[in-house]
Amino acid sequence: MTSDQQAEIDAIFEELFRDYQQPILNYLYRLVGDSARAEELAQEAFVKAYRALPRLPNGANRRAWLYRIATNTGYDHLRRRRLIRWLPLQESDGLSQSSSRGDDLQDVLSEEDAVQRTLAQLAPNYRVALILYSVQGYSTKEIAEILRISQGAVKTRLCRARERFRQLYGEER
Amino acid sequence: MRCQEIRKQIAIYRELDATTQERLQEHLAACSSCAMAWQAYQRQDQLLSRLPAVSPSPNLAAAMRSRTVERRARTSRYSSWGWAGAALAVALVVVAIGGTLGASADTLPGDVLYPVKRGAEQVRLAITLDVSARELYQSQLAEMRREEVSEVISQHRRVRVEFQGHLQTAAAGVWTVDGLAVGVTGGAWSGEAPPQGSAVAVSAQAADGRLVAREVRLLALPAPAPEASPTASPSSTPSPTASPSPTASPTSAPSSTPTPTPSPWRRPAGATERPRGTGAPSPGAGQPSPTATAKRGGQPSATSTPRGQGPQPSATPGAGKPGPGPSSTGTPGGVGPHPPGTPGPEAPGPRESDTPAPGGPGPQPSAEPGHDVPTQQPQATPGSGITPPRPGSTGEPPSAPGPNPTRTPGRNSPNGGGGASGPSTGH
Repeated sequence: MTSDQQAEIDAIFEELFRDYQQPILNYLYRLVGDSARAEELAQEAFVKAYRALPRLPNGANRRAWLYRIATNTGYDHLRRRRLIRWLPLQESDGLSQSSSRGDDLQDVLSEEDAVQRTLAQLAPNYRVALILYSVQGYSTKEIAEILRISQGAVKTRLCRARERFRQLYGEER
Repeated sequence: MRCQEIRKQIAIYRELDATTQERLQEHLAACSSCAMAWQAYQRQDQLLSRLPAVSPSPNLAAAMRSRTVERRARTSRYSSWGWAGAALAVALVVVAIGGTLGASADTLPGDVLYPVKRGAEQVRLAITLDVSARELYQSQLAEMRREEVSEVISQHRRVRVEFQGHLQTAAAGVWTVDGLAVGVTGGAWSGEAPPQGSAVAVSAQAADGRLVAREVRLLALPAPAPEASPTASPSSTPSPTASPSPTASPTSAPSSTPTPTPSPWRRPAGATERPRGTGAPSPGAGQPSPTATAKRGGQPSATSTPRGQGPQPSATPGAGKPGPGPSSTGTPGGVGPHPPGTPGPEAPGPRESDTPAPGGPGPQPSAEPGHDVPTQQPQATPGSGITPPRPGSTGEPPSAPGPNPTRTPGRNSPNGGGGASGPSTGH
């Protein structure tokens, strides 16, 4: 790789990082429920992106590509922590440190805490689809590109995620 | 429209077109379950979109730069520096070796770097393949050893030294060997001192500005005054009849001189060690060489010519110990490998009148190098009549078992004492 090509890669990466560092960080935060962990994962994802950037074909959707890297990084983390299905309550930012549910706690829990707890209980693939659609605002087509699945699969996954969220959130509330 | 289908549509209600939204509203108006789901999904989006966002810490950007762009730049720099560092390391090693060798050049026996100096000399000697250059270097080394001994004495060092030289005087237990006075006791030498001009190897202890011999070995006796041969005139014309016959027997008497010239390197009576390889005449040595006789006339037996000067100080740390030294291999002296008919590097002098055509290969079995043939008779060696102007190259009695004059200047081994004839003979 010539120095000019490397300089071009560096410039593209700088732009990607500047534009997506916060969205990627928040996406990972929603996914893992821990801000410090999310920042570490964001770093890891961007480093992977930097290394893979020279192999990215021209004209590729860089945003979808970057989210795919962040999603896989988040998945890997959840898999390593064996948190695919459940995230311990005490590891979630802003959540109550109490693990018991009761009327008193229900009053204390904020709406945001309930939402975060509900997200944490969603299966990662439902969580990812719902976050990308409802939080990040991506279309089903873009989500299909990020997750490399069909748009119909995205719609089905979103429908199931919403139903599951509705059920869990109702229990949380 | 079935409720299952409606649920899928309201899950992605943002993407529905106007027509689909109209039909959806109709269904929701009629289906309370789907209407509740619709409300729940809208609420989900509100809740999720209101989740607090986290901001990147100030360290994130710096950490990212450090792990990506700057790291790559550092790696590139390190790569460049890596080559530069390797080159620098090699240069330092070269300089260190050169510096050590340079620093050892002026060392004396007893100095820390003296072995380095001796080792470097041996290396240089080993890689010097040219015989002439090798002999020249050996003579330089011999002179260097003597200078070192002189310096050691002047500095009153207490160290053991070894050198070789020619005996000049021997009186009252003090021998003078090439200008170096050495106290010689009975433990170092028994019997009478060898005659003046003898080549000796001395291993001595230097202390308080004096040298006390621990061991003295006789390398070679001096050559007597050569006889002038009437037939040795350089201007004499070679006589075809005097040419050795190819069928000449090795035991045939020399035809070049009526009487064999006495060996200038007769075996010393006081020599306690019989030099190895005695009686092994090498080509050109131990054969009567009228040319040599003629040239040697009037010259002192101990020639001052550095080259081929037999007794030389040992060039190895283990000098003075009998054993198979380089001299026993005949390499330094360069005498062994040369067949008699092969002119050596040294220019031949005027040839003996009975010497056949130059370079004529004389079929002389006795002249085969390295073969110890005690019964070999000296002969005029056609083509090998390159008899250097040095003692010992004249023919000696065939049976004379004295120190082999064709041997290399003695290094370590007494049989090398014949080095007096080494470099120049046999070429």
